[in-house]
Amino acid sequence: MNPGPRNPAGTTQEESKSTSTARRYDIPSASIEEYLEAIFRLLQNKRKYAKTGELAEVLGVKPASVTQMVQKLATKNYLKYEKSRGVLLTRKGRKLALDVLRRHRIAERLLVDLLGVSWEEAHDVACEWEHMLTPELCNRILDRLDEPATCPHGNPIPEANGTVSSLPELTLVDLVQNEKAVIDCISNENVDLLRMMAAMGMLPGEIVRIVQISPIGDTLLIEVGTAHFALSSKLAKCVRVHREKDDE
Amino acid sequence: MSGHRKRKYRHRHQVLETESVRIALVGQPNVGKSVIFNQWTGLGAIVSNYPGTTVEILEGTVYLSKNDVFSPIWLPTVKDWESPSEEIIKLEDATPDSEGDRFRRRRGRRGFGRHFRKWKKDTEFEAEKGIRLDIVDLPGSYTIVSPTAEDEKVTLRYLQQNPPDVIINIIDATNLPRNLLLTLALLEFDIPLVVCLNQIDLAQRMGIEVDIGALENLLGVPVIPTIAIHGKNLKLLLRVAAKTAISKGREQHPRRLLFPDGIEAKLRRLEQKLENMQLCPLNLPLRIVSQQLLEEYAECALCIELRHDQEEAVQLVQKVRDEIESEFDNDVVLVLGEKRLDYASYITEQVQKGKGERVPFTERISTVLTHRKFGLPIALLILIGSLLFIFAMGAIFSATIGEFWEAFINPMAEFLITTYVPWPILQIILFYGLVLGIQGWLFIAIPYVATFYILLSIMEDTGYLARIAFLLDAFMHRLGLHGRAIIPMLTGMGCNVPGVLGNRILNTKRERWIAGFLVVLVPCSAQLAIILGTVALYGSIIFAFIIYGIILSVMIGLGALLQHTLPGPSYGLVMEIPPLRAPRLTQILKKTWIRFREFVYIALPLIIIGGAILGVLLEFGYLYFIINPATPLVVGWLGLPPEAAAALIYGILRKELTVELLVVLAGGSIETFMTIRQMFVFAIVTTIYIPCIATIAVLGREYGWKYTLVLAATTITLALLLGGIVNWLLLGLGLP
Repeated sequence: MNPGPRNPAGTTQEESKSTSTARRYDIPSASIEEYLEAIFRLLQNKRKYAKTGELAEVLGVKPASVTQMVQKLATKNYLKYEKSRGVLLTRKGRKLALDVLRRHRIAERLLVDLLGVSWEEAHDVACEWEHMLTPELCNRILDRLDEPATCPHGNPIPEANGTVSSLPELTLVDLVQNEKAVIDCISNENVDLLRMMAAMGMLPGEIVRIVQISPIGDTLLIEVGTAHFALSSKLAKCVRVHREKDDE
Repeated sequence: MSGHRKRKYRHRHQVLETESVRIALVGQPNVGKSVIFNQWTGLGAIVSNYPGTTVEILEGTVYLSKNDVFSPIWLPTVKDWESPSEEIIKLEDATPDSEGDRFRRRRGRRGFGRHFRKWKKDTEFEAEKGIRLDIVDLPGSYTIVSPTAEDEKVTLRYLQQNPPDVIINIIDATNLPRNLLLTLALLEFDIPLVVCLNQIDLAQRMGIEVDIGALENLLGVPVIPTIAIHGKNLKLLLRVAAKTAISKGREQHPRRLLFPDGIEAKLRRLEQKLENMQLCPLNLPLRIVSQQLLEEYAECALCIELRHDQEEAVQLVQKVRDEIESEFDNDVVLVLGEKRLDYASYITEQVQKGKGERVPFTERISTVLTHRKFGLPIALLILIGSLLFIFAMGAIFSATIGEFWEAFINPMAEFLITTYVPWPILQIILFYGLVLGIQGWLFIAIPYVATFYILLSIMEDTGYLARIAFLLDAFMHRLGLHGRAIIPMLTGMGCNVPGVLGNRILNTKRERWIAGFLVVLVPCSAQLAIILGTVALYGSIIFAFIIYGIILSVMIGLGALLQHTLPGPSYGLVMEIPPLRAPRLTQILKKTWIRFREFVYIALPLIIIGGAILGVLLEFGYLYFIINPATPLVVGWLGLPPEAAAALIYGILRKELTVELLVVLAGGSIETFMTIRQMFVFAIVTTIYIPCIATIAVLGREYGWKYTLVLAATTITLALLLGGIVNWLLLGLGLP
């Protein structure tokens, strides 16, 4: 595998695993947040749906209680749950999850930079702290730390408004020649362009392979299905992808 | 005959209401649509612009005998495709039908058949004609639900405004899922549909097998496998299409896509709303309209907004869109697109065996051509090679036919004219117009223009042009453009008019503005002929490259300047790169002819008339009235002979006229008339100074007159400035 410029998959997996070390959920809202965060992290690696089984594993709870909780969250419109396919975050859920992630990463920063806690430990502590941080507190910490852009693990801190673009994302330009990836989303404000790419078959879930990179300026020649497309680097940056897992 | 199925298309006694059927060819780009069209109609195709646009629509007519249409049709099954395809040919040949044979014979001669028919308008022919099929080749479109590109919009508008009797949807067997996206949209229309599964041979080579019967069942419309470049099954396709059109698609049960996950219900709600409000704006199925509204297709949204009671509908659309977007957490365009593609992939899974790999051999060549290290040098070599080839053609031509023309035809014509034509003025007109005019035209049109178009067609047909766009994309970004703009630029090297029109493929106004300036600066084949036919021929080919270098730097400078001064965002390149294909001679020649014929029909008469007028002016000494005012500039500043002013003025009409008139003025040989320095300056000035009248007209229409005026003024200033500087520089260097 290629060690790309930034590989979120690696770090988030690590984080998710350490989340599984037993955690108690005293406050309902904290538990909701914890769930959403876990789902969000799962969805970053997976295509679309998070399976309840995986969720149970990550959170270290029984599958039955996950199902129960998920159903509860679904009624509150944080997520959508389908028995056969799994869990999917709604906009509302995603927003909250991003907010939690923001608090989590700010807390990590605080712990590592100011208190000198080790990275590993910082993560576990931050999992507790994140639920206590208010937006006001967050801003103060950020102020104090000179507005850091990333957490100690190198993942960007989401903006307060929960903008998607600040997520630790892999785009087509980060791939090297002959690497394969699955399209997650095309983030472009221009609806015309979106429609054009959709019509050409560049849609979420499709597998992309980098065939060539042009000599000047990194224009990409990509393969989608059996068709080849040239894509300017400017547009390739808008195509968010994740690397295909071997087991898929 | 066990391998053939005989069903659905049995003979029915139908009363034909009209004797003509209108067929529209719809397909995505690069599926072989124009190949099929050319196989059917040949050279006789009429190119017309869709009203209000510059997108070209090709129309042609063929005839099928009644027997062909009404006799039962045997459809090939999968089995036939597994065995060698000879069987299929036999199948067509086996039609026990003399009229059909005659049809095929006529079609065998394709283009000539048409002309042949024109002469043979006797009763016998009328009787044999049979059913008239008007075929329209609509521009290649990835989607027609909510199109983005201008040509796609034309396809949609054509289907709305002139619904044909039957649509033939050509799909590429090598890329089924994406091609089926379009098919799914076409199934929504209330127009009978026949699907043509093309490039089945290539698919086989790529390891793809398609179960045609299964595909037919899943789509609910007939599917005909074809190999267009070999003409295989094309007649069968035509017969099935005609039959479907005549029966008005009654046998069809098109199976439409139902969106999963509750989207369908939402769409239905929207449809219902539109129906209640009686908002059917564009003669489109409501289902399509509601999808368009969701996808913010501007043209459709506009129609809805025009209504006074639109508020409710607009709100509902917004609501449904929000619902879908929040539910699936993605843009509605992507959600709908993904669902469509899911369904298309499902169909593909059901009917397709094998995944399909690109043919390794051509892929390897493609890899080299687009290689990170070798790609650009190869492109440069190919471009320089083409230039040298055109130059060589010009040199050979003038050395053989040119010499012959001068040695025999000219004296003979002169002798004939002076002997048989009584009045001197008519003699002058004939001599200057016909003899020298045609000579000048021949010198330019055949070796330079025709050769260029052949080379361009080869690059286009092999798919190399798209690869150049890929290679130079980043370079074009520096000029505020992107790789796609390379195509109008290269087309502009043939003639600036299609180049300017080609700028339509660019997305934003800003890009079109910059591209407009640059395309006009690109030396067209006439200007190329001026460069190659004067300074390169009599001096050295190096001069030609120097001139190209100068023009290229002017373009880069101007592009960079415009890029910084013009406001607005810029897009990037999204473009399909088709697989490399071996060029086919007939296709290349046809393409070349369609582009070249304008030089025959428009340029030739202009040159004859222009030559005649110039001849009269020259012989009677009126020319100096025109030349004298321009003398200080032309002679003093540019250092050209005074007569060059007349050539330059004529050049506004058509660029190649400048050289042709120089030939006329010099009485045959330019060498005696101008020095190398003068030729060099002349070539630079004529390449830049002002676009020809046709280009100006197109520019005015496309960009508005203000823009055209600014452009003309800029280029004239630039040409005079550069021409003068080069002149004095060369004089300083001591060139005569």
